[in-house]
Amino acid sequence: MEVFDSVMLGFSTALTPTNLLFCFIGVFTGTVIGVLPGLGPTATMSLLIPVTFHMDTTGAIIMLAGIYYGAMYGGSITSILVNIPGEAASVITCIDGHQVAKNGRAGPALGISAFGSLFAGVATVLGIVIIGPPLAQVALEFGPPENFSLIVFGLILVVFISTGSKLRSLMSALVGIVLSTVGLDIVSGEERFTFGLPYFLDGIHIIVLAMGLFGIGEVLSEAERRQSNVDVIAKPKNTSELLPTKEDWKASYGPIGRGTLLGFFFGLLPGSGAMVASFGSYVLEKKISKTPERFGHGAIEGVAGPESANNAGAQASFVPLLNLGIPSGAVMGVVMGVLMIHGVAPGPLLYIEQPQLFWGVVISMLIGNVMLVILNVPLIGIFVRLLSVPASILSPMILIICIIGSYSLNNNIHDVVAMLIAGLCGYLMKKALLDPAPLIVAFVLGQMLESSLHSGLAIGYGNPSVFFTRPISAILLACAAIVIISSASGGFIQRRLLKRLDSS
Amino acid sequence: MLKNTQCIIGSVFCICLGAWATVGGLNLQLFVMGVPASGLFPFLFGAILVAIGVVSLFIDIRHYRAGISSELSSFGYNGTRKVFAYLILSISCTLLIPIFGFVIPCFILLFILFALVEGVDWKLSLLVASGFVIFCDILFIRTLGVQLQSFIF
Repeated sequence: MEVFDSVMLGFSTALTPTNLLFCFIGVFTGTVIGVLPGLGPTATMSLLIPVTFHMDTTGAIIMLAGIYYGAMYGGSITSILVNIPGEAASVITCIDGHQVAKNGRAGPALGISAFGSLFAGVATVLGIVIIGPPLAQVALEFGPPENFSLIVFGLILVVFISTGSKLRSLMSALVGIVLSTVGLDIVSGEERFTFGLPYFLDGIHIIVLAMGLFGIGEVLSEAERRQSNVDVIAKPKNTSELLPTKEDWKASYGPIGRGTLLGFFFGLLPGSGAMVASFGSYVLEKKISKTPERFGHGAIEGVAGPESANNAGAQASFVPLLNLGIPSGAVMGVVMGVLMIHGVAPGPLLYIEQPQLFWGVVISMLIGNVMLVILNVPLIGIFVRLLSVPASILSPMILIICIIGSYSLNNNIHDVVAMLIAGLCGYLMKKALLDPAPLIVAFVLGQMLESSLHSGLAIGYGNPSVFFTRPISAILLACAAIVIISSASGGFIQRRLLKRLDSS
Repeated sequence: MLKNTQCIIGSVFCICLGAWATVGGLNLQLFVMGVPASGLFPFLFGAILVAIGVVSLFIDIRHYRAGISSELSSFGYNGTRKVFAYLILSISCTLLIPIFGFVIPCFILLFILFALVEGVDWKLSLLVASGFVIFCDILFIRTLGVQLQSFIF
């Protein structure tokens, strides 16, 4: 009954005209940026943060959530029609989605992608309704040592489940933690690493850092590599052409269901989210298929599974943030930054103190998914046309938005300069194979990590064994150790096998 | 070999940053009367960063010696020139905003970037630059109330 009342509260919040409008703006913007290659959801959300200053917190998060899962829809359109993934989670859809379109069946591919994503979206909301409240109740029992261990475990997952070099991701996360110590110490109020500059007394602003690393960093990287002309496959002319056939449905319902489950699971884990979910779903479908040779040549299952998985993953990644206060990736790091700017602390108390925010955001996902299907069907032509806007026009515009956005934080030109420096760092980090995503997550979590370390040590009278003797804390740290050891040993075994293969 | 050098420089930078945090943490004191002080946290994580950075540097140097190239992109002459142009023009624009207001420096920045850096036709550059600056002025300054002056004379 309590859950029913909460869901009703969610509907009453999400269905207000203002929140409906924000939801629409979010999913529309998300679809547009999903279509445009090079501009991901993290960069867009960073750019739009200044806009959220003038909105209430629930509306702001509804809009940002819409951008995230809207980008998943948008990404699939270009993956299928143009073979260009608009964002990372749609890369895998290119393989079979574009082949299906090349075989003259672009409509059904887009249709399966849209309906699969809708199913995944609705099912994920149901999943959140079921597991959200108990998870928050469990998290309420956590003290500082458990919180410390949870943050460490979350960060380890972000680093070790993500793609790319684990060691370099770990370095990136540690840089984020070190940067979070700049400013006044949260416990003693002592100045740290400020170089005597008053600007650094409040620390580095999360928005300045996020806009710089993701907005300016992307603009600078994009300035180097320019996209060549795109070859658009004939797009469907009317709604009926989008409808999949009976055979398509028969082949797709299994992958949609499995993709949704997989996406939901990966979304709950920090560090994985939509991208890993879509890759995992593709591999799973290919493995269990009776005709795996069709994959890569236009198998509709290769569209249905990954597209459902990435949408489920994107939505489920809100669970660790809203229920535990742990952002599962860069996108959630930015969302957490917005919540903190609005004076809202994400975590288990959010569910109790601000139920309208929690349930409003969850239910808005349901509404947003329906909006996306309605929006995507008639507007596919317009979205595809957006691809003709060259990056040479887009990049300078993003630069201007970043300048205005960072200035609007404190009406201070120093923020703009700091953001440009962060942008240069973001660009150079990519050049040195250092992913900025773990940095931003660790930066957001840095202060929480420090305060829980201090409080935990205070509970143990300065003895760090408190982190290992309390059962939940010990389990979480053991899990973190298992992730590190399994990742390291996996890499070691892989290298040994490759060496043996080479020698034979 | 430049690609691996980039990785090596990245690792060295992380080691330096970690060392800076570690030394800074030590200077701030780790414990005061058995209670954690403000230096403990940066000391701990700075030291971990140094350790991880050293391992990474060791691997990078081994890759460099073995000639294994990484999947990262190297610096190209044209690309780097563009990146510098973007940065210098943005900083100049930022410094001019308090003097001339938002509209004129941003319009000039956009026009130069479109026409001179990106090679867009000058008429289109003029049109898009003026249109976008007006759009930003209406959206951010007049509608959302960002405290930027449009013009200062």
